[in-house]
Amino acid sequence: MRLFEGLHLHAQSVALLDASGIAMTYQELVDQSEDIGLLPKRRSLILLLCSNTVDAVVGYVGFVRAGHVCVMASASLSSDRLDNLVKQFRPNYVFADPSAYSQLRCKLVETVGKYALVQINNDEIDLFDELALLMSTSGSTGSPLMVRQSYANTWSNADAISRSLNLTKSDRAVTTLPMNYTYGLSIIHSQLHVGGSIVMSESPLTHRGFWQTLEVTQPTYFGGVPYSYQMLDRLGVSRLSGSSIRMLTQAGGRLAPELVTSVSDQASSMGIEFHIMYGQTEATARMSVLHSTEVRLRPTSIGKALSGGTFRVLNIDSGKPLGVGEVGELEYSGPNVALGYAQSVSDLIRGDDWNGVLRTGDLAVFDENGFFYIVGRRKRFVKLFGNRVSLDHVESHLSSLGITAACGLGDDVLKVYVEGDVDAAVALREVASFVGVHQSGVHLIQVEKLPRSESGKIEYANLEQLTGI
Amino acid sequence: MNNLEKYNSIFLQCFVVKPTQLTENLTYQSVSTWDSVGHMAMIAQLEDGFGIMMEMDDIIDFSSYTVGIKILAKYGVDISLEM
Repeated sequence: MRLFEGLHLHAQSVALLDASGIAMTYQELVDQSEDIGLLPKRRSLILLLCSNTVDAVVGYVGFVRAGHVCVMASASLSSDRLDNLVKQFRPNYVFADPSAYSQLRCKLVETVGKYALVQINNDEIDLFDELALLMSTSGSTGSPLMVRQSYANTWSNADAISRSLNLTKSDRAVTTLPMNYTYGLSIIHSQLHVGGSIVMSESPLTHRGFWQTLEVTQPTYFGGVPYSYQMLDRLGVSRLSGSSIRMLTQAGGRLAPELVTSVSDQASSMGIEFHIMYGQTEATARMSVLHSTEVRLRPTSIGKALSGGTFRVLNIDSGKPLGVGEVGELEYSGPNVALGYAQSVSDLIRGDDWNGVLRTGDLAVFDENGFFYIVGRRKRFVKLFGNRVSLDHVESHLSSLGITAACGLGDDVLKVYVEGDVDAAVALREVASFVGVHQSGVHLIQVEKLPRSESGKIEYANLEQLTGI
Repeated sequence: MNNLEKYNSIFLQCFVVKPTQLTENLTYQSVSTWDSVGHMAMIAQLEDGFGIMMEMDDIIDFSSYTVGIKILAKYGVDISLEM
């Protein structure tokens, strides 16, 4: 099965709306996306610089339906990162708002609203038959590591998500997350899968525009990362009282249990469902759900695997499955486990490296009722405003600037311990710009010496005890 | 530090801008640092700095450097007259 195959079944229903409420039907979406998707004659690699606009979705749907492979990136990618991405994957075409790629040499093929399809080379690229998409592992930070997702991956995950949330064609989502972010894209996928509609909004929750769009377009749900719910909690969840919203979902990292309870209580008093989900780009988007009715009872759980998927907790050394209450690495298997990674264009011919089984890198336990809980992490990364940030990456970047640093684990804040006499303001600005977040998400701690073992390796376990100078 | 200086220093620090950028043209999302995270960080600092608690409507209407001055006036924080 392929995503977007059944769009014509909903021909007269509304598929997309812009923030002001102008609607496009499924029939119009099919027609317009075909116009653009069929322009590249050969099966091509297309870099899509995403924004939450109707134009971007029309192009995306067209390219996927025509069998092209899309590399998904943000329209606000810096020009350096865009150059690197183009060097790395040598896409044949770019589909973007022209202001986003002014430095590229290219030939205009066609325009869709504010977006333009331009050709940058005519190379023949070897693409695996089942390959549909390349998604970044880190959302906005433009990590060079991309995940290869197949047609079956995206279809099965959209299907499982829409079943688990009981999405119907009367549901209408409003975008609150970027389209190039797996969780954001999965909302678009599952809406189009059930014949529902999506409001393409670029306004954050903290902007008046978002709340105006909510009134004009009457969406029934939106998703958020932990930071979205921190904002919503500060703004007052009661703001949603009397609105068209019937459901909220949270994914993209761990939300503090007291906030889970607070949001869940406020939402349920207004008759709004609040579901918690867990996912990774390596599993296309989402792997599990903790249903609204369970959230109050188990606010720290990630719930149970989506239909078609299975979780196991494995002994880290032996790989043997563990029992109730035993901590080990969480393994997920299911049809949404992606094909593998890609670091350059030559990886795009690779087949299925993972065969439906993913070692998540998260440490987990499950209880006697089969609910799973994340208790730690094996891999050295943190989730910052929903985006994955590799700590090794940050350290090596700072090292290239002559700054010795070690990063601590933790959620929602990046703790960077810098050694010696370093201009803290400069280091802070560097880190924030490198990982693409606001400075308030980075805590810089200056220390005289980082803790090291006799062999000179940094002892990360001892970082927490350090206090700044 | 008077109120204007305090207001300005929060903007300079939160959005990493130059003093010359503190004009009516400094609006939400006009600089990359004024995103939703920067916005909430600024609100938190204004609330701490001036000892106020802002209403939801004022937080989402706080769309520029100059609009902010008018919003703070509602909380008894007089900025514009201290030039």
